[in-house]
Amino acid sequence: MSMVHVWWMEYRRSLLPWFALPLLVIQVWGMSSASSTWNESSTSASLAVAWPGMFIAAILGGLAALSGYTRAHWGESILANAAIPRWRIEAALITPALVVSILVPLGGLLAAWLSVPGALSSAAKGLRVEFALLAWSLSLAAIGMGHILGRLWLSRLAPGVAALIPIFLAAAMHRPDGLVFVPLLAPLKNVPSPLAVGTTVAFGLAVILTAVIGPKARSLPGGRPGFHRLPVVLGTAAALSLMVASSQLPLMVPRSGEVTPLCTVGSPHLCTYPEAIALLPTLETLSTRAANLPSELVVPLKVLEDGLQDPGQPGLILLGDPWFAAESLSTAIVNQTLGPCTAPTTPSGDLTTSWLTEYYTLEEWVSATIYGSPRPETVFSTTDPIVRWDEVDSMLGADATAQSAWVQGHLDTLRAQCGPLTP
Amino acid sequence: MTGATRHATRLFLRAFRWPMVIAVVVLAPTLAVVAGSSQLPVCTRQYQSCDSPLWAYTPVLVGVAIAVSLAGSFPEIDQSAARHLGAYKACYLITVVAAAALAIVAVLVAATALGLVVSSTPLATALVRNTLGWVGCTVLVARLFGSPLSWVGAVVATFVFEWFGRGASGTALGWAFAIAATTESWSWVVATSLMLAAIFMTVWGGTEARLHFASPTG
Repeated sequence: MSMVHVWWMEYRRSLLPWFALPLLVIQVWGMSSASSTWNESSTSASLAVAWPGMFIAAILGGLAALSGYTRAHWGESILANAAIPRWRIEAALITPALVVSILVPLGGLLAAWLSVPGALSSAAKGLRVEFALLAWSLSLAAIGMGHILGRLWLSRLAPGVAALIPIFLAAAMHRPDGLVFVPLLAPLKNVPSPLAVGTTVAFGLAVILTAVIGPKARSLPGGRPGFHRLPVVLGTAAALSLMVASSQLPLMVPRSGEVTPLCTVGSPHLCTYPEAIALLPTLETLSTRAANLPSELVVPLKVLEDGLQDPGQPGLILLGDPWFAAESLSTAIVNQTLGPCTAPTTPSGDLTTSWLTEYYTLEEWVSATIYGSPRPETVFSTTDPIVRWDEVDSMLGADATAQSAWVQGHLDTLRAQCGPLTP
Repeated sequence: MTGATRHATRLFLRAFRWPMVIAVVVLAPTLAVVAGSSQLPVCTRQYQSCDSPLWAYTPVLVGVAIAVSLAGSFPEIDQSAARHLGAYKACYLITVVAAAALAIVAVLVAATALGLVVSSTPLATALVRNTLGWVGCTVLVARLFGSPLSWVGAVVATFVFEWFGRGASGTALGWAFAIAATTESWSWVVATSLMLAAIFMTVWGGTEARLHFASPTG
């Protein structure tokens, strides 16, 4: 009997194919509804593929445990008596879950590719499969652990517990720059590290391999399946080592190579990476509003996205809501206007709150003016408690003369309290 | 109650896996304390407040344990005496949920005494509500699809809560009982309704669905 025949036999008998469509719905629905700006660039769309990965892994892990449990509890496969090596039987049992675990993120990648703006060139539209691979690693680990748990623990509780494992794994495993399996942010200035992704995928494969080669044929018809100790110990050691290595490696590394920025026509020229072309109309609007700020504020001629500018220069932050672009542009404008003036410190070394209040109140107003309305309810900031909101709100509706006087007053206060220059 | 039914009931009660259920009922609030401020990695919008504490989901374990326990070890007995056993099962369900509530209080009082939890009352209230909701959800799914799949409902519900159960500011909406503030009356309505529906289905829903997909190959 060929291996393909064995796999097909198990696949048809499995519950997994029935779950393929609901899981695909969770994948596409989850990635497209988590954030309104999920497909503003090919990178953000690729990242979104990983977001529902935790739930998909949980269901696949639970079903793998259920499959292992039912086989162990209700009787062995007839394949066990057909002179087929044990590892091939175990591989056949795991195959349905593996097939679904591959099909679902592939569907997500297809949806991402179809959703990113058509104006992008084919090169810029290229998806980053690394994020999908990270989520797939979690599915692999979930399937492997679920299979082992279902084989070892003959309880109907096993699938439920197996479903919880990937959820806790996804929440608990951190890298120096974020989560191991479900990265939540991916600035365009960085790219995923092949080493970090490879290590995480290797972790998932090590768990699968352990689940395939570990189980032993039962010595008695109704007995509990045994385990080959050496392969299980070696496989577990390899998986744990790779898990630790994954948690030590940063996922995102600075991108290399020359990038020709894409800039707005109007001044100030706001520039971004080519794959974020969909953001240009928004940036043009922000640029026009920035150009119309009171003349007391010095607007830079060109502001590049974070990562494209020279080191030490404030960059444009383009992540999600355009508020962040407006806020980062506001920071560049206020800092350029103030020049070398920095926050003073108290004798104990803390930054002076009154100066920070003036600074962040002015910055909040500039941000809101560039954004075109007050900060959206969906965005919060750590500076919220010290901003004088009544001033910001009243100035947003004031005439140009009053705004100029208000800005000048703030700048005078800030300059009068400047701290010592940093060497 | 006839002698045969009484005998069947005794057999069924014996098969309720009491030690496992009691262990899980104590384990769940303990895990909630251990989880502390750990969050589910679902906040995909930068600088938004969308706290999703892991402890909100630990009562799922209680739900799965009860759903499995209710199925019993002898489906034949269950199927042959469904009408008579339904009321007993419902009594069992209510008793275990009450025990879970007591366990939550006991574990959190102990955790507070040990200094692991600062203020136990809000956490205890939320855990009791979530226990009601998650037990209701898992038992309902178990009645419809079989106890080995009871957890699927919880995973899908978690996805729905986290993705669609938040307002524009990131604050949880009332119907998303697992993550909503305990002051949200709708969260209590949803959680209690799920529990009542589970009790109804336990009493009048007939026997649990059984899986037929996984019979041995060949």
